[in-house]
Amino acid sequence: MTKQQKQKKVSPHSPLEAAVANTPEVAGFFCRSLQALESKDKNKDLIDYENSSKIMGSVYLEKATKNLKHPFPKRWDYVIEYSNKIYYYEPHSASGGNNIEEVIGKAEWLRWWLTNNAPDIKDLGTEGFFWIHTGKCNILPNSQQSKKLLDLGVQLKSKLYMK
Amino acid sequence: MKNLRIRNLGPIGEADIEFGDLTILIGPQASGKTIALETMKLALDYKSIIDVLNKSNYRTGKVENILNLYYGAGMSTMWQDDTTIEVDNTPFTKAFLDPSVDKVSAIETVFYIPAQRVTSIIDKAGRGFSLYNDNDTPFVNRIFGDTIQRFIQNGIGQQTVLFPMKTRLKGLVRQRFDNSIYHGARVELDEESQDYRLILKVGESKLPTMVWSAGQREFTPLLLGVYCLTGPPQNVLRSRYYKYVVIEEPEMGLHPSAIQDVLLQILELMQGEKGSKGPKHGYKVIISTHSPLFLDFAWAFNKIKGIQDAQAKYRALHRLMGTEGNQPIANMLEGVLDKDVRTYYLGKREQQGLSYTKDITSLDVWSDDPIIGEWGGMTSFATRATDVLSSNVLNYD
Repeated sequence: MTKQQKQKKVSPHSPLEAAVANTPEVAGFFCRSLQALESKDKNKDLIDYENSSKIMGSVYLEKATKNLKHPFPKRWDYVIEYSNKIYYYEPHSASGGNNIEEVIGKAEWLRWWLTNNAPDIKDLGTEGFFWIHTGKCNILPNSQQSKKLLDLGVQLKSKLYMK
Repeated sequence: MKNLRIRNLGPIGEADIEFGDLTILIGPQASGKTIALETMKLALDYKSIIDVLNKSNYRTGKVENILNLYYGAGMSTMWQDDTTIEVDNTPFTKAFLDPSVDKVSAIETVFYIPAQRVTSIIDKAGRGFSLYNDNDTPFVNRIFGDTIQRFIQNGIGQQTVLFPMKTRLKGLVRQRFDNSIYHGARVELDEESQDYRLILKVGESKLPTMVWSAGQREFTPLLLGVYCLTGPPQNVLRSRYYKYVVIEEPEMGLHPSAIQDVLLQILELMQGEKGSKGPKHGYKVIISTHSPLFLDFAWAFNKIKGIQDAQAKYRALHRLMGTEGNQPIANMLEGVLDKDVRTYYLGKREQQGLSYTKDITSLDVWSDDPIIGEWGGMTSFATRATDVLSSNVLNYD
């Protein structure tokens, strides 16, 4: 094996992996493919894609940061890299109760965290923050609640389709 | 003109509007939106208005006559002793409504497309100012019908097809109007008619205006208004003097996908600076509306303006308008990126009482003030429905 090949082998295989390695709070939490996701969150009714080989990796943000002291109590669930594009994925109920406030809290944390503690990940850009509702959705598209989510950059959808 | 201030005029108690390049005026029925916009035109174009009335042999010797002819019969009484109107902090009083007007400076600067525009095309394309049989009809309706008539009779040569017309509209906008409103049908002047009658040609069928869809009937006079403002210079209309375009309820009768296309055309009217070279109109556009789509646009547009990277900002606006990949539209959107878009609410504080304006340009959905947070009532029902459904989440079967 040449020196050049050796270097290639040890280098991160994706921009997200490299950015995660440079982010102390989540370093070591990068997983290949969708391995960071809990099995219920890999359900094809919630998340789908054109080509599984293009899923470069994923990080369970909530698990990695839940015990850290941050100014926001909530945590966003996942970040996924697919074909060099970054998706922030939050499978969560949207049927009622405090769901909207919960996801707003998660999005507020995510924005704060990317800016203050994870600039390398933030610099990768994103396709968006996706709240994928599990079960029924009781949030009307033109409501003030819906617009509050959009104001934070959160898109409420029934499925995350990566392409 | 930068601002308009009205006190105690008809239903309006206090109206203060700082105009942007695009100004959106919302509010409930009969809150005074039309009166505010008509008053703006009166204050800017009073010389031209009086000149038109004089030429049409109306008795303009009394201010009350002028006001009744302008706002519509019986409306002069709304201008009371405590009424004040200011444009750019300069009072506009009844004393300006002097019938011995200087014709040379009688220039029309405000092109006004009224809500009741359909009357201008029902019998034929356009209607002469004096042909409105009664004096009840407000001036803005009559002058619009008159302008359309002059355009049709003197501004398009021998052409009889009014839509699609190759020399008018940007290609993509024309295609979109075709897809969303006319669906392959053509708007034509009926060659068998002696009287500039409009028809919709669908295959071999020639359909009179009264059997068109409501959206087609409401949109076509708006389209003709756009023709008057764009395309080759219109000496017959003196269109080079127009600076402001008022469009009342541009959404009238239209599906949201068609309203988006109308919005694209409105941006085209705004692009560039007035008097600059090339097909840049630089009009200041003022719309009154009951459609949340224009507020969705204003909200998104002002957020996009905050994107620091110029290319990202430009791409975002393209994506918002669904126009990626179209070069003429790309150039046009570049000409609107830095425009100032403002939104005002005009409504009553209580059930009864006079209307007031509120600047809701921020459209801040986190605001505790429901006029701002719920966009002047535009999102109130969907918001309440979401609350009801969410709070009953455990009560469903």
